[in-house]
Amino acid sequence: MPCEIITLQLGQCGNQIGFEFWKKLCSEHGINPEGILEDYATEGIDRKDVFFYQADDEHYIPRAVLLDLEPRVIHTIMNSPYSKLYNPENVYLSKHGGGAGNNWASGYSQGERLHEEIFDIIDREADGSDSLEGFVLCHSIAGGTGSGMGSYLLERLTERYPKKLIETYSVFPNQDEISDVVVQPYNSLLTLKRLTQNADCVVVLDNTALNRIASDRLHIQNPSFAQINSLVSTIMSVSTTTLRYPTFMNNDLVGLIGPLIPTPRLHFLMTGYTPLTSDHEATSIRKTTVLDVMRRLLQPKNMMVSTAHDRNAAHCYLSILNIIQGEVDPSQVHKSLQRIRERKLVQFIPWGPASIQVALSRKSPYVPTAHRVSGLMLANHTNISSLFDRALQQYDKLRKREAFLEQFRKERMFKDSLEELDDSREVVQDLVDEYHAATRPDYLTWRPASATMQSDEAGAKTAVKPET
Amino acid sequence: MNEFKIHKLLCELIEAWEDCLSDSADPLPYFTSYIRSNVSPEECLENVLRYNTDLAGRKRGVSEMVIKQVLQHNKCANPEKFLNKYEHLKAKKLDILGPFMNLLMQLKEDSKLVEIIKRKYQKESKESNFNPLHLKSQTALNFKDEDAQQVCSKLVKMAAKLQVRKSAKSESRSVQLPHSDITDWSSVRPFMSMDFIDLPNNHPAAPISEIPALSQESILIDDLLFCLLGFPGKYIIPEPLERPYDARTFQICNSIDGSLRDLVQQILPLASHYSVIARFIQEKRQCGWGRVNHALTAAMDTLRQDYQVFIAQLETQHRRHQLDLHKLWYYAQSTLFSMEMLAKIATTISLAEARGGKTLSILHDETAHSFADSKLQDLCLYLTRAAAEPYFQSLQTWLNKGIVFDPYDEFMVDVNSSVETDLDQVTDQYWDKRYTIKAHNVPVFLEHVQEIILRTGKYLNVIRQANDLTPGKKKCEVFPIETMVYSLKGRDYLNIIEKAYKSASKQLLNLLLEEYDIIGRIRSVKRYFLLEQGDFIVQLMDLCEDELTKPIEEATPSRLQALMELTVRTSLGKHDPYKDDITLVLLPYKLPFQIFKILSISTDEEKEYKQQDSSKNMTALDAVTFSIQSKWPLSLIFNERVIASYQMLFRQLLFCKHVERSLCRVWICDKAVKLLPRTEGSGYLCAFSLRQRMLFFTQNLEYYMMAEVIEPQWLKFLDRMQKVNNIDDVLTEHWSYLNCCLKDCMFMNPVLLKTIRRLMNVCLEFCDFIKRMQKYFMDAELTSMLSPDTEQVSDSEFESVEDSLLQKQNQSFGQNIARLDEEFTTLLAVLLKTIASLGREEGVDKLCNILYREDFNSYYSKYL
Repeated sequence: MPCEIITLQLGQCGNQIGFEFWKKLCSEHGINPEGILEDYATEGIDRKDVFFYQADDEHYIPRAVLLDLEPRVIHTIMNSPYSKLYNPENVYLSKHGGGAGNNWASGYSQGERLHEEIFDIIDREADGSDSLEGFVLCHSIAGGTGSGMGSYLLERLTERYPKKLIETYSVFPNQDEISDVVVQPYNSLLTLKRLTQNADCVVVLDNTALNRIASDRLHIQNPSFAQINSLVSTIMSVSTTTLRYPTFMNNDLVGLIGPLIPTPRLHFLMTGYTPLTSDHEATSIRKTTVLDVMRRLLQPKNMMVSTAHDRNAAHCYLSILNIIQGEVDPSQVHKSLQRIRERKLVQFIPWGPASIQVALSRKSPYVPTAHRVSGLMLANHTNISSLFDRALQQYDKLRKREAFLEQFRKERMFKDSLEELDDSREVVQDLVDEYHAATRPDYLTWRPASATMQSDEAGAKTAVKPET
Repeated sequence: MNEFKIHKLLCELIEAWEDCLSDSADPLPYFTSYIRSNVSPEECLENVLRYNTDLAGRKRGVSEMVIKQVLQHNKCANPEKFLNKYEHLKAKKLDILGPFMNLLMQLKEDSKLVEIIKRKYQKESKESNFNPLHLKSQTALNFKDEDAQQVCSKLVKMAAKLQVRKSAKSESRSVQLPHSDITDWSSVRPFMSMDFIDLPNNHPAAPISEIPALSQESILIDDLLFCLLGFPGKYIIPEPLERPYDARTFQICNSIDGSLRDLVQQILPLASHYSVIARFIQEKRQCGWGRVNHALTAAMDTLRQDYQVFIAQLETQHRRHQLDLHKLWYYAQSTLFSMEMLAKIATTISLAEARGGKTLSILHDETAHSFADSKLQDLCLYLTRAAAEPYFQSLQTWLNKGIVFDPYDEFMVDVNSSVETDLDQVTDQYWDKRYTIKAHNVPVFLEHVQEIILRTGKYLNVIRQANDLTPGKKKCEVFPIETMVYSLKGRDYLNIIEKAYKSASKQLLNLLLEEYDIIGRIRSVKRYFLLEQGDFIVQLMDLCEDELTKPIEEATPSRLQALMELTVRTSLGKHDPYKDDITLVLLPYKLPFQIFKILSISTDEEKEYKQQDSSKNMTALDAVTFSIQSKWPLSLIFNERVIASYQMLFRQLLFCKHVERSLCRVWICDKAVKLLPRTEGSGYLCAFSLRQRMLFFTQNLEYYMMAEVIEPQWLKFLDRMQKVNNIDDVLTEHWSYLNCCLKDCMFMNPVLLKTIRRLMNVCLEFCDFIKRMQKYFMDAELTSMLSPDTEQVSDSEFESVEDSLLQKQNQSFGQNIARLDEEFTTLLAVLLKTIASLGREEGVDKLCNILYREDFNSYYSKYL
C-alpha cells in the first residue's frame, strides 16, 4: 500500500492536536472510538490504510506514536473513549515523568537519552508498513518536549530515513499574550534551526492567528485549546484528503508537497481555510461557489499565520495549492483561476512559473457539512519570514541581556559554549534572507550573506564541483 | 444493379457528352477526359455517391433543369446524342443520375478546377502527342501509386466479397439466376407465352378489299379480338420487336376501308398494351426475379384474366352479331386506360430491371402520380399492395425476430456473412458492417425510416445473442406486430415500424444498461485507463517501475501482470466489480505510432514516424498498457477502436506520471542539500529551479488533461447518457466522449504531441543526470546517508543516453544544467507558441487553458 504515513505526537501540544486529528480522521472514515468500522462505512471509497492499519481482529489502529515526558495529556487521552484506539505499545511516557520544564535543552537531552526506546517504537512501526512514505510530526516549537525532543527526533529521523519525507505541523507561540515560558525565544530559535535543516515541509500553525480567527471569525471570547485544536485538526485532515480519497492527482505526499516547495530550504507553508464556522454558532449558510472559496482563501484574515506587513519587500507567493472539497463543477475552477489572474489578486515570484494549483477532492460521506464547497489553501509565501524575523528579534533581546541562560548551561550541549545558539541564529537569519531574496528576480544567483563573507572560494568550488 | 454497371453507363454518358462538345472551345471536354483517364473510377463514383447522399432530398426532377443549363452553357455540336444517352439512362431509373448531372454542373461552374483540369489535360495531350502509342499505358501510369493500390485492394476485397456471397447464396438457394436450372419454357414452348410470336407469316390472307365493307368489319373484329388476346390476325399483323420491352406495333392491311382502319388504329394500342403485359408476366414470374415481382405478376395475372373475360364477352357478343367496331371501341375505352397503366408500369419495371424494393418504388410512384383518376389509383393500389405483401413479410420477420428472409436478394437489409460472427472476437466492424442497407432495395416509401428498420433488427440480434450466452435467462420477449399493409400515406405500417423499433431499442438499452451495467463499466475503465483512481497508479508505479524501466526484451509480462493484479486487489479497486476485466499488455510499438495508426492523421510527420523503426530502444514503459476483456455484447461498446483510444490516453498519462515521479525523486534527493554547510548548496539553485519548472510543467499538463479535459467530458457524457434512447446513441456518445478527450489532450496535433514528448524526454534526461551527479553532489558523509537503491535505479534507466552522458561528464555541472535548461525552455516556448497560434482557430479553445495553467504568472511571456 502506497504512501503510508506515521504520525509522531510530541509533548503536550503535539498530543493534543494529534488527539483531535485522530478524532477527525475516525469520524471521516467511519471508524468508531474503539477502532471498529461502523456498519455504514464498510463499502468505502477511502483509503484508510494511509493513516491506519488493521489489527488481527480487523480493528483499525492509527499509525501513531505518542511521546511525552509528562503524563498529563497522555493520561487524558488514555482515559477518553478513544483510549482503545491506539496501540498501547506506541504510547511512550517517560518514566521520569517530570517533563522537560519548558526547556529545549532538557527536552533535547532527554530525547538523546531515550533514543533507543523511542526508535524501537518508530522502527517497528516503519517496518510494519509496506511502503512508508514519510512521517508527520505534531509539536509546538515553544515548549520543552515538543521543541527539544522534537528537534532531536528530527535530526535522527533524517539520518535514519534519508529517503522518507518529514512533514511537521508546528505550532508557533501566540505573540499577542505574554508567555509564561520565559525561554520561549531560545526554544523557538533552536527548533527553527532543525525545522529548516531537517524537516522537508513545515506547516506553520500560528497560535496568534488561530486565536485571532477564533475570536474574530468564530466569535469565541476566550477560545479554549479544544476549540483551537479542532481548527488545527481540520487543517490537518483536509491537507491529507487527497491521499485518503484518491482521485486523479496528488495522491502521494511528495506529489502534494513537492511542487509547493521549489527550493529545499523554503519549505514553510501557510494554510488558510474557508468557510470557518463553529459549533455553537447558528450557521448562516451562504452560497459558496468555487470562486468565492478561492477568493476568500487569498484574504489574509483567513490565514492561519499572522504575518506582519513588511513595506520593504514585495512579498509574493512561491506556490499555492488549493484543496477544494464539495460539489464542484471542474469548469468553474478554470473560470475562477481566470478571474483571479485578470484581477491580479495574487502576486507570484518573478523567477519561475507559479500558479494556483487546484486539487478537487472528495469529502467524507459520513460527516455532514453545511457548506456546499469548502477549501483549504496550502501556500508558500515569502512573508512567512516575518514570523522568523520576530523570533530573531525576541531572541536578540534576551540574548543581549544574557537572560535565563543558566538553565541551558546545565545541559551537556551548552556546557562549554553557547555556539549552538549562535549557529541557530545564523541558520534562521539565512532563512529570512533567502525568503527575502526569493522576492527578487535574481534569486537564482543568491548566496547567503554568511557564505559570501566566509569565502568566495567555496562558492566557486560549488559551481564546478562535480569535476572529480 | 452493381456499381460496375453504373460506372460503365456513366462512362458512356460522359463519352456522349464529350462527343457533343468536342468542337467547342469550352474547357469541359478536358474535364470529361480527366474523369476518364486520371481519376480512378472509384473516386469518381465516390464523388457521385457523395453527392447522391447530399441531394437525396431533391433527387428527382432536378436533372431536367440542370441538363438544360448544361446544354445552354455549351455550344453543343451534338446535343441530341447527349440527350439521347441521358434519356436512356433516365429510363433505367438510375437514382444517381440527377446528382451526377449536378456534379457536372457544379464542376463546370467552378472555374478554378476547370483551369487545373485544363492545364493537366494539355500537359497530357502533349505527352500523348509525342508518344501516341503509349497513351494507354500513360493514362494507366497517371494513377498515383496510392490510387492504384487503393483500387487494387478494393478490387481484391470486392472480388473476395463476391466470392463469399456467391458461395453463401448458392448454399442457401439453388437458383441464382433465371435460366440457370429451370428450363426456359418460354423459349421451348413459345406458344404458351400468350403473346404474339414473331413467326414469318406463311399464309398471306386474301386481300380484304375484295370483301364488301360490311363483312370487312366482321372479319376485322375477328382479327382484332385475336390480336387483343395476343394472336396475330390475318389483316392485322404484329411487327417484330426491335427491343424486348418495346410496345408492339401492328401493320394493318392497306386495303382496308379508311374509316374502319382508323377505328382499328384506335383500338390497337390495347393489343400492344396486352402484349407488353403478357411479356412482362411471362418474364417476371420466372424464378430469379424475386418475390415482389412474382406477387406483382400474380396480381397482374388476375387483372389479365379479367381482361380475358372481357374479351371473351366481346367475342360472345360478336358471335351473336351484336358487335360492331364502334361498340367495340366504346367498350374498350375504359379498359384501355387501365391496360395502359399496367403496360406503363410493366415497361418501366422492365426497363429499370427492377426487383424488390425498386419495383415497389416504381409502383409507389405510379400510385402517387395517378391520384387524378381514382379508378386508376385503385388499380395501382391493388397492384402495389399485392407486390408489397412479400416484402412486408420479410420486413416483419426482420422487425420481429431480426432474421433476414431474403431468398432473392431483394430485401433492404443485407447480412454480410463475411464479417466475423465469432462473438468472442467481435470487432468494431461487426456493428457497422454485419448488417447493412442495400440502398437500391429500399422502397421510396420506406426511405425515411430505413435507419430505424436496420437498427430494429440489429438490436434484436444483439438481444438474442446476449440471451444465448446466458442460457438461464428468460428468452427475449417476442412482441408480435400486426400485419403490415401498404397504403399510400403509410400511416399504419409506419406506426408499426415505429412501435417495433421503440420496443427493440428499449429492450436492448435496458439489457445493456441494467444487466450489463454499461455506465458502471465505462466508469471502471475510466478508473484504470484514465488514472482516476490515483492510489492505484501510484501503487502500480511503486511496484513496477523497476521492471518498467527495463528494455522491453528483458521485461516479463507475466510478472507485470501479477503485480498489476496485486495492485488492483489491494488498492481501492477491490470494490470495483469489473476489476478482473482489466489486463496488462505490452504492445510492440510506441505511443506515437499507435496514435498515427489509429487516428490516421495524414501529415508529413506521420510518414516520418512511420519510417522510424518504432520498436527500437523501447523500454517496457513505452510498451505497457491495459486492455479490457469484454465479452459480447459489451464488445459492442468496447470495440478495438475504443480500446485503442483508451490505451493511447493511458499511455500518455502514464508517461506523464512517470516523469512526474522521476522529478519527485529528484526533489527527495535535493532535500539533502539543506544539511550542507551554508556556504554550499545555494549553487544548486539553478538546478532546483529547473526541476521546479519541469515539475510545474508536467503537473500542470496532467492537471489540464485530467481536471480540465477528462473530468468535464465525463460529466458531460454522464449527463448525455441520461437522455439516450437506443444503443446507437450510447455508442455515439461514448465515442464522442473519447474523441473529445483525445482532441483536447492534443492527440490530433502531431506537432504538439511531439513537442510534449521531447519536453518529457528532456525532463527524464535531467532526472537521470541529477541521479548520476549524486555521487559527486554531496560530501562523502552525506553520500553515505543516501540509500544505495537510487543508483541502482539510475543504472538501469535510459541506457541509450549513457554514452552521450559519459562524454558530457567532463563538462561542469553548471554547464550541463544550463544546457538542459536551455533545451527545456526552448521546447516549452515552442509548445506554448504553437498552442497560442492554434488558439485562434476554432475547435481548439480548450487548449488555451494550457497557456493559462503553464504561464499563470506570465513568467514565460517573454518567450512568446
